[in-house]
This record gives sequence, C-alpha cells and structure tokens, in this order.
Amino acid sequence: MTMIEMKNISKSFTSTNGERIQAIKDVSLSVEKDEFISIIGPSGCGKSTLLRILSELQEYDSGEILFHDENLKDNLGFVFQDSVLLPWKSVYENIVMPLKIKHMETPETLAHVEELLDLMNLKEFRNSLPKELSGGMKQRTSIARSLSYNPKLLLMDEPFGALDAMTRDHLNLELRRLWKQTKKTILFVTHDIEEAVFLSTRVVVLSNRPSTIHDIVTIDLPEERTLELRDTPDFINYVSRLRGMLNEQS
Amino acid sequence: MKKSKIYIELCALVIALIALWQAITVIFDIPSYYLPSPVEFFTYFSQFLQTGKLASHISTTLYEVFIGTFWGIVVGMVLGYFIAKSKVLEHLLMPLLLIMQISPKISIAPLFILWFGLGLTSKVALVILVVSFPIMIAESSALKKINSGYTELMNIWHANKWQVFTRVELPCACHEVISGIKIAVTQAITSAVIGEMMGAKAGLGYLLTNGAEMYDLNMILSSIFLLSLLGLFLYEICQVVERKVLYWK
Ligand SMILES: Nc1ncnc2c1ncn2[C@@H]1O[C@H](COP(=O)(O)OP(=O)(O)OP(=O)(O)O)[C@@H](O)[C@H]1O
Ligand SMILES: [Mg+2]
Repeated sequence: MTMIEMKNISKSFTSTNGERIQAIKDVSLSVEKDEFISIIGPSGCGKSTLLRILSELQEYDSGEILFHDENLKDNLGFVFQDSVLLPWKSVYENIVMPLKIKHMETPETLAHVEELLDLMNLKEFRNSLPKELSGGMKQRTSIARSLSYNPKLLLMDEPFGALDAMTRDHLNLELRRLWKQTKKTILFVTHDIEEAVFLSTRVVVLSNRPSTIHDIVTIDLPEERTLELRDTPDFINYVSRLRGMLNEQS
Repeated sequence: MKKSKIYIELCALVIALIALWQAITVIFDIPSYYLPSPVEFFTYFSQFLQTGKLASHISTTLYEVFIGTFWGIVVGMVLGYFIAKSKVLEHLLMPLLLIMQISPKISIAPLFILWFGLGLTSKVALVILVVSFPIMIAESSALKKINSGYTELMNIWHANKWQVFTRVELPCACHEVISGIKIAVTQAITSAVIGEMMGAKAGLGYLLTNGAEMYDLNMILSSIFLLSLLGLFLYEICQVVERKVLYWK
C-alpha cells in the first residue's frame, strides 16, 4: 500500500551572495507502508532538504506530495543528527515532552514510554540530565522521544552520524528490531553505505546537485539481520554496487 | 564550605572597617557634625528605628523598588519577545526606547513627578523604565540565538506559540534575562532614590535630601547604610534564583 507519493519535487535556495542553488530537481518517490528506505548521496546534494520538505519544515518550489493517510503527516517523528535534547529536562521529561505538547498524556501512552525506556536501555538514566549522558545515550533518548507518540512515519537525518562504530552497530541492531516490532515506515538519511544496506528494504541513491534520483536499489537480504550478515557475499555485493554508484557521482 | 568562608572574611572586613572608623574619629577628635563615630551613629540609628519613622521610609523605597522591578521585568519580557519576533516592531520601537534610555534618568525624573505626582507612582514608573530596558535587550538577543533545532522540533509537534515560549524560549532565555535582572536591580534602587530626592513625601531618598538640608549627617548615613543593605539583599535574591533556575548549566 502506498503511503506517500512525491511527484517531481524541486527546490532551490538563494545563497547569501545571491547565487541560486538548485538543491533537488524533479524527485519522484513513492513510499510503501512499513518500508525502511535509506537515502544516500554526495554531501550537500539535498538529502536533509528532502526530509525537511516532507516534514513541512521547508517549503518546496514545485511538485506535489500526496499523503494517503493525513494522520501520517500530522503525527510524524523526526530525529536530527544531533539529539537536540532540552538540557534542563531529564531523560524521562524529554521523552514525554511531545506527549505534553500534544495533550496526549494518557495511561496507555505513558505505559508506552516505559516500554521505550526499556527498549532503548534508558531505564537507569531516566532521571539524568542530558549533560550526564554519552553521545549514544543522548541519541537513544532522542529516538525514544520521537517514538513516544507512536508515529507511523519516522524521518531520521543521519541519527548515528556522530557516533563511534561500536555504538553505531548496536543502535543499528536496535533500530532494525524496533522497526520490525512496531511496524513503522522509516526514511533514513545516512553517509554510511553499510548502514544503509544493513537497515533498509530499499536504498535511494541521489545524484550530485541538482539532485535527482540516480537509482533505487531493493535490498533483498534475509529479514532476520545480525552483524554477521555484513560478512556475507550478498551484503558485500550490495555495498560495492552502491559505492560504485556514489563514486560515479563525485 | 567555601561560601561560608567568604562570609566570615566579609564580616571580619566590615568589623575591621568599623573599628578603623571609630579609631579615626577618636584619634583625630573629629566633631560629630562632620563625621559621627560608629558608636554615635548606631545609637542614633537604633533610636530612629524604634520611633517607627524609619520603617515607613524603608517600606516606601522597598515598595517602589519591588513593584517597579516586577512590572519592569514583565514589560521588558513582553517587549523583548515582540522585538525578537518582528523586524518591523524592532525598527519602530528601538530608536524610541534608546532615546528614553540614553537621556539621563535625572532629566526624566522631574517629568515623571509632574505627570504622576509626588507619591509612589512616579518612582515606580521611573523604576519600570530603567528595569525594562536591560531585560528587553537580554531577552530579545537570547531569543534570536536559540538553537533552531528546538523550534523545529516544536513545529514538528505542532506546538502553539505559547507552548514554544514557555517550554523552549523562556528556559533558553533564562540565563541572559537573569543577568539582565542583576544589572537592573541596582539601577532600580538608584532611580527610585533619584525620584525620591527630586520630590517625595517619604522614602530613603527623601531622607537623604532631608538630612542634607538639615545638616544631619546621622540621617544621611542611616539612609546610605540602608540603601547598601537593600542593594546587597536584592543581589543575593538574584543569586539564589539564578542557582535554583539554572541547575542544568
Ligand atoms: N536554508 C538554506 N539556505 C541556503 N542554502 C541551503 C539552505 N539549506 C540547504 N541549502 C543548500 O542546499 C543544498 C542541500 O543541502 P542539504 O543540507 O539538504 O544537503 P545534504 O545532502 O543533507 O548534505 P549533507 O550530507 O552534508 O548533510 C546545499 O548545497 C546547501 O548549501
Ligand atoms: Mg544533511
């Protein structure tokens, strides 16, 4: 079932010195229900812009976006590259913040928050302030916060970009597990090709500016994914194919 | 531990200064209409306190400073918010507010006394004028440099303007606003006193002019002593509030 259809989305910026930068041009993509789509592409090609347009943080010049479920648009989750936790709130208070704002604090949603704390291994840090957390824990809090109101659509802009390889592996596993358990549609921007292959059902490769969709690769790997998968020939094939495409771009 | 040590040192210093003061008046045999000795001064002061007249002067000034500072903060916060949000308002209001600030307070005091009378209102108005400006500047500059990630998150959650203000903007601006208040309270006392000296029926500033006119050094010293205490007290309140509010820094 198609959930979102983007048709010929274009967006250009005017930089401070008056130059026009065409960030994305004629991007068309339809997103199916329960998909995990990764978006990769050269730096500055417009990956963040695409997510920001989808979440209405940014206007676009032309094209059309169809949400087949309006609920989706009003109730989406967004995870930024840096965790943007409110420094004066504890982990728990940060996570329930969206519930407070949306007036959605019910016994059910609060119980869901408890589950998330568990799922993200944040139980013992629930009363800690953000400054007392490591980078990985901050990002887990940020993810838990975006999930607190149970959005069906999750947009993630390089959420693990600033983390070390070990933490990253760990969070990749957790995210994959979470996606399978909670049935969500995820759009995930990353620089890391292996991460994209490991997590996704499809990988979208954007070209250099003005960015169009260069190719979409369906990742046909087993449902059950463990870190060992990354050493299998199939996985390595996907990675080198995508790397080849990216190298063509730059 | 460290804090209490500072207090002990401060007390020691004050006692030493008073002792020095006493010594000077005795050794050089300074007449009391020129500089009373601490013993004389404190006797006068405690008698003055007991008559109950001093208390009414203190409460007058306290009232002006507190009410003025409170409304000054409110006015400053409201103006600061709108100036940060609207370029048009900023361009319209800033020159006007700047002129009011640059002109010396002493020159505005007589105007306010003519407009609002000899009572409390004119001094409260003066204090509001003085307090609101630094608060406004502090808040608007703090609001302008808030991490855009916070506001974007609030947009994604469809938060309304009031929610954004109370949950993100106000806490973010707290540090700057409190620093602004710290500067403002000392100026608040100054301007209340200036207002009282220009024309009033009560207050510590009124006591100052009264003392000067009657060559009553004890009265002047009482007023100065109380004003310094008041300043110290207000500043300490700010420090306590700051520590309570900025626990997360
Ligand atoms: N607000 C803006 N004003 C002007 N130009 C912008 C703005 N936002 C983005 N751009 C430009 O649009 C282009 C795409 O930016 P975007 O942040 O989407 O790239 P990206 O693919 O996310 O890059 P990265 O991988 O480095 O995060 C860049 O060239 C950038 O300079
Ligand atoms: Mg980006």
